[in-house]
Amino acid sequence: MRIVVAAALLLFATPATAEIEIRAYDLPTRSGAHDVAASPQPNGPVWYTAQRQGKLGKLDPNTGKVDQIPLGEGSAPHGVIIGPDGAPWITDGGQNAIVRVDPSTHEVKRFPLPEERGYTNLNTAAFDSRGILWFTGQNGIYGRLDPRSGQVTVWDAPRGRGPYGIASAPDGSVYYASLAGSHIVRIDVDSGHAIPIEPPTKDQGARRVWSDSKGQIWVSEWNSGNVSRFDPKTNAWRTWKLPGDRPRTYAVYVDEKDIVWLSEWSANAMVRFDPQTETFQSFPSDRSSANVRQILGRAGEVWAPESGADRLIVYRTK
Amino acid sequence: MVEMGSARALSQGDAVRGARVFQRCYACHSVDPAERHLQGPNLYGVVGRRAGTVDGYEYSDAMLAAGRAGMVWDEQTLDAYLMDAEETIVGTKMGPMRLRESDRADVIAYLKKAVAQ
Repeated sequence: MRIVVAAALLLFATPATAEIEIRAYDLPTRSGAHDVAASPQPNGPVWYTAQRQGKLGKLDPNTGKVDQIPLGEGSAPHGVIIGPDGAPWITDGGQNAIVRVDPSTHEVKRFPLPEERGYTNLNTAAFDSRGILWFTGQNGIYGRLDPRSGQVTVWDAPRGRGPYGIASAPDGSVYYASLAGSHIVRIDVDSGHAIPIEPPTKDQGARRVWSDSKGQIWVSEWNSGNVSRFDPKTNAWRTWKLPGDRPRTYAVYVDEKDIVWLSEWSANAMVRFDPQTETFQSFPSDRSSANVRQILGRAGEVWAPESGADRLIVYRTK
Repeated sequence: MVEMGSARALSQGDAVRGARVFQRCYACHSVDPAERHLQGPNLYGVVGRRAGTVDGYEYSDAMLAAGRAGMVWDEQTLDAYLMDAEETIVGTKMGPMRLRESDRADVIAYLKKAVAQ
């Protein structure tokens, strides 16, 4: 058990944007924090996947104290999200299993994928409005887990390898992005059928998706350096190129005010995009190769794991 | 410090088992010379190839530097890289990849055989 002290307090303000307070929390060396999930309660624990160490990390943002919970032999956790039960749920690529950690007892429970599926390279998960967990596997699968019964169902992705980020929308639908396939997919949560949807930029490398409050799906495009938005009501797309030289857009998240947050690897920066004014605001990291692979927040806070710098960064919006 | 696999372990690599290990690489790499659109460079013929030299692939500065310095992918360099990619070539684009000794030997055997067929 380590106690680490929060470091660096930075304040940014621009005339057209909200005041942003940035705070960094150091994590154990070489933890390789991949994804982060903050508990919904204010000042509650912030969970992260220590992919390099096969553990789930738990940060107390009030004290900076970090605990890391081993997830099992061969674990290499990729994604983590908070379920309707308040627990962190993990897509563990190393164990080829969905893993639940009890937030109080830290008991680890595994839901392995069917053995006949082989290694799936589990990526990310999202809960739908009925409490079903949907997940992606980069080797070309997607699936669902019913936490009540423990039943795991896996389907072949319609266009092979690639399924990456996944998110649910307010209407209960679920979308995933296919990085290798350069498209997004809408999953029919009743039948499990996957419907590919093509972004307008060819070979864009759709990596992650997130919904805004209106159900519009935002897509981070790794190859093209764009962020794009799909409106399911009209099937219309809008696309914006991130600023800078040859941007690489890795992660996307939309906060409760419908502000879009992105991680851009070429500039080594977090980028805030306001869809109303169509303006970008960049927050470069003070560490080289910060490598932010995912972004997730709670009311008033946007959290980003710097996998290359062993830190969690929080952007507090006022 | 990166602990290398033993010569014995590498010599006992099994390509059939290696094909299964390669599933951990499959999302981003291919040994089919026609598949060149993935996130990682095509690995057809990788054994014996200078690092950072697949035509058309956008390498990290770190990998390009390794190639300019003369690094060639052979059993030893692949073994070190697959033991801990981010430690072996700091700044590599490849995500966290750490295989155990027997898996490294097997997948290296698979990569050698893939071009031999």
